Amino acid sequence: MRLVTQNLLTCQVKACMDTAATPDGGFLSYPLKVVPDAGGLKQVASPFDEGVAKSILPRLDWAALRKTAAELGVAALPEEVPAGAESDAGFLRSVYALVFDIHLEEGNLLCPHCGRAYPVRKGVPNMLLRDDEM
Amino acid sequence: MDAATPQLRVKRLRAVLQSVRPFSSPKIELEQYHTAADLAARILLLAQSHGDVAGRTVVDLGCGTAMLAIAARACGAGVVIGVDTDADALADAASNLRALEMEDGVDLVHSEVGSFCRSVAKRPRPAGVHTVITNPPFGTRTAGADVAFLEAAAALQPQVIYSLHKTSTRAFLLGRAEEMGYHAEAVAEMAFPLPKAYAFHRKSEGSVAVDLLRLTREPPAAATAAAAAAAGE
Repeated sequence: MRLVTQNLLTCQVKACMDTAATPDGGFLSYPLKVVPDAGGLKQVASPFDEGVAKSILPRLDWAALRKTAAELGVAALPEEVPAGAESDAGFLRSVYALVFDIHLEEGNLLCPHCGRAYPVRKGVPNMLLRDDEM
Repeated sequence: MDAATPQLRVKRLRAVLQSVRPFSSPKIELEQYHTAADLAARILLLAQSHGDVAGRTVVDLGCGTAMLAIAARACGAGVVIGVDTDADALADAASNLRALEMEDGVDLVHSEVGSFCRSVAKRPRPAGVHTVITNPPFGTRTAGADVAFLEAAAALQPQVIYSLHKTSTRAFLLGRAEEMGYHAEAVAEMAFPLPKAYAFHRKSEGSVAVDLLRLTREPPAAATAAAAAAAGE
């Protein structure tokens, strides 16, 4: 699973979702923290596609991506998407590599609100809930 | 998009999809039927003719063996995510992706489909999923399973949803789609082959009449018929 997908995922535990929204528009159970096992991250260089990079940029939750990149220590992103970013090839390439080239193969996704761990095995996060979590 | 004729594009894509292996342990309660390569090719090329695949973020709900996800990726989708509740199906999907060297271009998520869509939609910002493509259960084993998939898809608020349903349920589903805030039309009628995957099937091969429904947030363009023709059918 790549960060472009992690950027979408949020905790599914009902009690957690019900209490995650904050008055200032925040959402406490997001983004899920990427906690790789030793050697659990895989880096695969994918061919750069400028069209995809441009279309993905406004669709990313930038604050969540920035937080995840910092936690992983893989990139220091600016607080906001810089003006003119969509025509800055270097910037597009770095974001593209960040969201498409880093694969979490083995590890966990941790909810920052309730602490629920979603195990990731062979690159597939297991988001299934127990009965008492629904 | 290359300059190949529609017929040639179907043929090429079908050739890729014919290597997608069916469910190794199909589960009747989940109505896991293999989507035929020909059907998947036609669905994706039709979606492609509407501009809903190349470069787009595409989510395959109830992806099973990843047939539609693979077809989407083969048609140039930028981001492809397959979601399924069944671990065995996902293992089949992963193995299909590896065989086609697509394992780094399609992400799989093990999740109940409704819970996935509703939790993603809870985030403060919309998910930015452009296209949902799904071959849901037809609801013959679990009543309402087809509608539940459509509702989950609509919760993600994509620009467009492609969904396969039994033709006999068309009027009902078009009405439900409107209630979900989508404009819906049947853009193709197809025969869904049912191979003898389950012991209770008496006939070795049958098929069921299905519609490809296309749900859009905007009223459908008048060009649909022309687009369907361009997709080769």
